[in-house]
Amino acid sequence: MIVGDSHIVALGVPHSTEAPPEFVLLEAGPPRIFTVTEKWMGSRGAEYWDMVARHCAGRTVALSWNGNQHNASFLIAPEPLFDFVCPGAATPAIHPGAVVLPAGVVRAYFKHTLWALDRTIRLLKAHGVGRVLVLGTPAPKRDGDFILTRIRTEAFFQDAAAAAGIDLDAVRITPASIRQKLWVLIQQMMAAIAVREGTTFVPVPPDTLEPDGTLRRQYWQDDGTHANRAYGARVRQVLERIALEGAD
Amino acid sequence: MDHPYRSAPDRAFWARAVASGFSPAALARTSAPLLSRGEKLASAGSCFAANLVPYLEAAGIGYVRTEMPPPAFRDVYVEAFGYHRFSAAYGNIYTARHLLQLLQRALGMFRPAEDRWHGEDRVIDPFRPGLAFPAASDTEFDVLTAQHLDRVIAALRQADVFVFTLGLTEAWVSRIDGAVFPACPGTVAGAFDPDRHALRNFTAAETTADLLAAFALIRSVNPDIRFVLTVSPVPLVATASNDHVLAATIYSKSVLRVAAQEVTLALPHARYFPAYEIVSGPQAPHDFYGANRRDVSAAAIEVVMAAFLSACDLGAPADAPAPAPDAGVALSVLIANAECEEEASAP
Repeated sequence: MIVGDSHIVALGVPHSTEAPPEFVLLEAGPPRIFTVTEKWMGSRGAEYWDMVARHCAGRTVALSWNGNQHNASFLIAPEPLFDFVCPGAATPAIHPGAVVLPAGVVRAYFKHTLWALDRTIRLLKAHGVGRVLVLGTPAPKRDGDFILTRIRTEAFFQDAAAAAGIDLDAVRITPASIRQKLWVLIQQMMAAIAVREGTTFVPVPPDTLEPDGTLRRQYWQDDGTHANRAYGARVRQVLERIALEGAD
Repeated sequence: MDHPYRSAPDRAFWARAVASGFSPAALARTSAPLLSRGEKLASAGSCFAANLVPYLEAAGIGYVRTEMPPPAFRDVYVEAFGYHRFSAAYGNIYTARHLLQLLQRALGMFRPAEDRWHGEDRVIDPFRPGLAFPAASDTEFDVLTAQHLDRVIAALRQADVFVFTLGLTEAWVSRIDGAVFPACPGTVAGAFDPDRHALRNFTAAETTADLLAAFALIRSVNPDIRFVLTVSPVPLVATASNDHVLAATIYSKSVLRVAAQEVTLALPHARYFPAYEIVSGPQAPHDFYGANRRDVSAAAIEVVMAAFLSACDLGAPADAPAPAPDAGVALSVLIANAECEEEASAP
């Protein structure tokens, strides 16, 4: 099963216009791939996850959780700009002029965006899931101009900017090095939860990344934050290998 | 017969200025305002000093802050031990030697031999042992510490007046190089090692010399800055001197008061503000201290602040009371009292 938040669209899960979640066969395979479709309202609710749980027994569930929290908070460069020391980041150097925060503060900031991941894993386990694979989410896109052009037309960010009183014509995008660090940190937080809950974290395929740790251009969806179907196909290759070979 | 007392003002006589007619504003009066409208104030010192900041800001005084969390993080980046209460995130500074050391570190003149404590997945700053978000690696520690020391100097460069509240004379120091720890190692963080850590009870001469040296360093980065010295009226929570804590307290406060006086006599740009006398003098009401005879009450702090503001030239009438801070300030007073590293030394 491929389930979760908006990044599963890249993995082939169609957008749905229907509100109640529905368990559907996505591909006949082998392997057979199922999903739960639901109209996207910004996050998945209890009804969605209950549907997933009801059908997960004995199955491998590839779970994509959030994956846009760093964009939702800091795609637009905050004032003052901040940075932090992030082991594993492609560009360790602190951005000139940025306020350096302890990484623990940034982790504490994003903790609430992952707070239900462990509970969801436990829900699936309680329903006899075969295996849970927590998926890494797409890396950020490097090109700030590309992003600005797209988010100025994306309703999600338009609404967020309006609510915050931000003029999208006057903003700049947070430097890619910082966005990449935020993404790395969130991947590390998800991996820690996956391990703690006795499941597997599946990082994004390294060949989907540029040397600076951002998403390779060929995998960009034509919006501010998502990856495209080619990226999803690459991730599916990894998942299918795991599912068929039992390799982690 | 004529003699000098005949022409002395009322404030020189106990009967007229203390036994009756006591006025904190008259006690605080100096030859020149402590601070004028539009000037910026930075401060450091003991837990008591942290209590004063909300009142200063509520009075419209420009309080220098160079190390506050970015707005997006203010709900999660919450620190105890006063780290976000002062002009930079140095937390409580109890002794003159600690202030001097901070400046020496910030100016690259001194690097303590014991400059970090390694714990499980964390690197603790011995000079800020209560940080809620310590570094996770030496790399992160170096980056955060360098930024902090840079912000300390930035704060002193921006200020017109620096207020320092002297708190203690007792301190735990490194036997290697005399580095002063704000709390005995092993109380808030770290581990006490009698081979590496020793008690110092700084004398009046040492405290005076440290203050003079510290102020000289501050003036080297901000030649026009003025200083205000106060002594905290908060008694010691504990003493390691083998003396009774009451005797140790009186000794300590006496030393600090003498040192403050010596410095203000030596430096034309330094003044003394009598917070200690207002709270602990024989004229002070009983309720200026709480039931434990140690916690300074909100009522006392309000009187202290009113006197301080009366000694400033802010454009308001001299008798105008300071704007009442909100309930959160009173809570902050209680929290500041409770969250001293000094408190941690009491089992």
